[in-house]
Parts: sequence; C-alpha cells; structure tokens
Amino acid sequence: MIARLAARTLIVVGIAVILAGVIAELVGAKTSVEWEASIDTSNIPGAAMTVFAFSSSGRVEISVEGARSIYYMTLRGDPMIALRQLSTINISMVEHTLVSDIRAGVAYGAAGLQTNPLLLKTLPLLANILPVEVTTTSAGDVIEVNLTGGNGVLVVVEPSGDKVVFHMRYTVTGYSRLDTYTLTVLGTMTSLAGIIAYNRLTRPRVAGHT
Amino acid sequence: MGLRGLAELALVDSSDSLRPPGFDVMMVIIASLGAALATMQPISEPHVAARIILDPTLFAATLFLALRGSAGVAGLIQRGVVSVYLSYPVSRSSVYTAIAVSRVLLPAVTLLSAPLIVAGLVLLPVVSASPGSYILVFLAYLLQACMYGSFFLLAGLVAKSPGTASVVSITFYFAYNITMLILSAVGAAMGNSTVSGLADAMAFYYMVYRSLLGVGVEVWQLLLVPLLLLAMLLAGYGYFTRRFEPG
Repeated sequence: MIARLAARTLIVVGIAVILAGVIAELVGAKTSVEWEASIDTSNIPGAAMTVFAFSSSGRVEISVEGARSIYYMTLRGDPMIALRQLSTINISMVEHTLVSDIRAGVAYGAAGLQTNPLLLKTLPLLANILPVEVTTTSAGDVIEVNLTGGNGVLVVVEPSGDKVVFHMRYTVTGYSRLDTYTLTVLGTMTSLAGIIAYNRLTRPRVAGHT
Repeated sequence: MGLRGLAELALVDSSDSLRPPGFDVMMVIIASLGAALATMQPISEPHVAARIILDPTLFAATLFLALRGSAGVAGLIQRGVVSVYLSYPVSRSSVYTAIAVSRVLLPAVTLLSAPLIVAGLVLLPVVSASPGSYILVFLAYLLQACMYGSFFLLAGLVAKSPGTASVVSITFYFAYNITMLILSAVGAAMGNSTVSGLADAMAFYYMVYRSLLGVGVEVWQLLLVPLLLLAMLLAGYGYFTRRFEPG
C-alpha cells in the first residue's frame, strides 16, 4: 500500500514538475521592477511609500522629489501592521495606491498622509513607539535598503511643495531555479518511474508463473 | 501482534482513505498549484517558499481530511467496517491509532508534501541552501492540519453519520478561522497585543514562520496548537476506548 502510494505520488510530482516548466516559460518570475508615483500634497502635510517583499529578497532604491525631510523605517513582518499603528497615533492614509506584483514577489504603494503637520515632525520619535528603527535622510538622497522575504520598508516624507514624486527600483537577489529543459526532463523521468513502479506493483500475479 | 497489528490495520484502512481517483486528483491539483506558485515568483528563501506553497495547500488538505477523516469514518461505522476492525485481535487503542494514522496523519503528510517536493525540485538551488527551515515550516503546517484532522476524526466517531460529521467538521474549521480573524481585528482595534497574540497563536505555522523571520514569538504562542492537538487526540482516544459503541 505504501509502495503504491509512493508510486502514485511520483507520477503526480512528475506531472507537476513538467507543468512548472511550462508555467515558467509563460509567466515566469521577474527579477526587477520599476515604479513611479506622484502624490498631490497641496492639501496634506505628508506622503508615504512602502515596499514589502512578500516572497522575494532584493535591493530597493527609492528616490524622492519634492521633499523637505524624509524618514524611513525597515519593518519585519507585515507592513500593514505598522500602518495600522500609525493610525493609532492619528496618521491616516488618503489617496493610496497599492500594487501587488506577484511575478516580482513584491508589493508597493504610495499614499498621502492626513495628520497634524507637527506630528510628522516628531516622527523620528516613533522609534520609541513602534518596534522599528527610524532613519532620517536628506532630501534628494536615494534610499537603498536590502529586503528579505517578509520584510518591508516604509518611507515618510514631509513635502517642500505641492507634489511629491517617488521613484522606486527593486532588484531581486538570491533567486535561482532549475531551467525549463531540466524541469521537463526531470518531470518526465519522475512520471515514467512512477508509472513503471505502479504498473509492477499492481500487475496481477499469475499462479505458477515464474 | 501489537505494533504489527496496528500497522496492518492502518494499511488496510488507508486503502480506503487514500483510494484513487479522488485522492490522486486532489494531489495533482495541489501539486500543480505548488508548481505554479513556485515558478511565478522569484522566491529566494526556503522558509518563504514553504509558506507560500503550503498556505493554499493547508485549506485543500483540511477539506480533504473533513471528507475522508470525518465523514469517511462515520461511513465506516455505518457500514459495519469498524465492527470488523474491532473484531481483530488488537486493542481498541490500536484500532484508534490505526484509524488516526490512516485518516489524519497519512493523508496530511502526502497532501502537504506533494507540492513541497515539486517546489523543492523547481527551487533546488534556493531550498538546498537551508533545507532545515523548509522542513520546519512543513512540519508546522502538518501539525496544524493534524489538529484539524484529529477534531474531524472525533466528530466522525461521535456523529456516526457522514452528513452530520461533514457539517460539524467544516463548521469547526470555519469557526476556528473566523475566531482567529475576529480576535486579530479586535486586538488591532483595541491595541491589545495579548488578543492579537492569541489570534496569531491559533496559526502554529505562522508562529514558526515568524520565528524564522526573527520576529519575537512567546513560548505560550508556540504551545497553543500542539496542546489543542494533544487534547483532541486524547479526547478521541478516551471516547473510542471507553464509550464508543459501533451501533
């Protein structure tokens, strides 16, 4: 029974590995992504951008135009938890855009921040409120952060004018998989091995046959 | 006869619980899903790969356990097969263990490992860097599936009717998950970390995953689901060995 189950599992694994090769050719993973977002800050005191690597690891570079000061914090786990915590100190999001790019294994988005302007100036103190490290950088600097799977970065900007523009470039690192040819060969061999084994295990034994 | 009888009975029963083509079709679907998820995303860490592949698999495996582990057992009781099992020269505890192995452990291991093997082959360069964390996340999902499955088994033994057993099992599964969502929402709304922590602790795999990410996890959060599993297995064992009548 166990041997038969193993043979059936081999057949299934083989089929799925062949399928994996086909999917990889059609809609395989991307290793870099670029994105730009513009936030109208004429009526709001701040803007924010977040990048969250949900399945990949990589290097994110974010440059900001139209900033007076920039704070960013790296987050472990779900960045939505940190955003919810921001709402508990009266910082709420308006006009937000969130993009989930499954083929790059990363989610990113930008939003306007509605809050008391003085509160944004005290943002570096967040390090004492949230379990995160807040870093202050000069306007015009490019923020570069290495992200691992399940980690993210949140950038908060105090604008200098009516518009803040975020440019984001994310490059995947550490990703590697078997190539399509190897997957096809491996899948075919595994399936055939499973079929042969199952056939031998279920073949009726004829009495007297040696 | 003890262990050998138990193993033989588990094998006999698993020929029903894992019978083709239903089980095979489920395996193909789950393994294909694993293949798709592993190739569409540039996953670069083993534990992240395991979580992404096993999240949807756990749901499918749990529904399968509800059908074969709960309704299937109730069907066995109705058809008198359990009476035949009890007539074997093995103890009641051996019969219960054999049924738990063939109706909960074996299907859960097979269904959860099929997509993981596929993803492991596709992402061989990534997974081979740290196979331990890959297997650890698998074991965490397996424990959660066995916790659901042990309740389903108890429901099947008590209900003795496939329809009732299915309804009770699926209701339990959704109630458990909805409770988790409500506790999480209430915890976030109230800013109460204990309530949020309780919601997180109800998903053992999430706790293990978080600890692999380096996020702090408390000991009680890691113990909740294993203790629930133990309690359900003991409840099923106690019921089957002391009160169960095949009818």
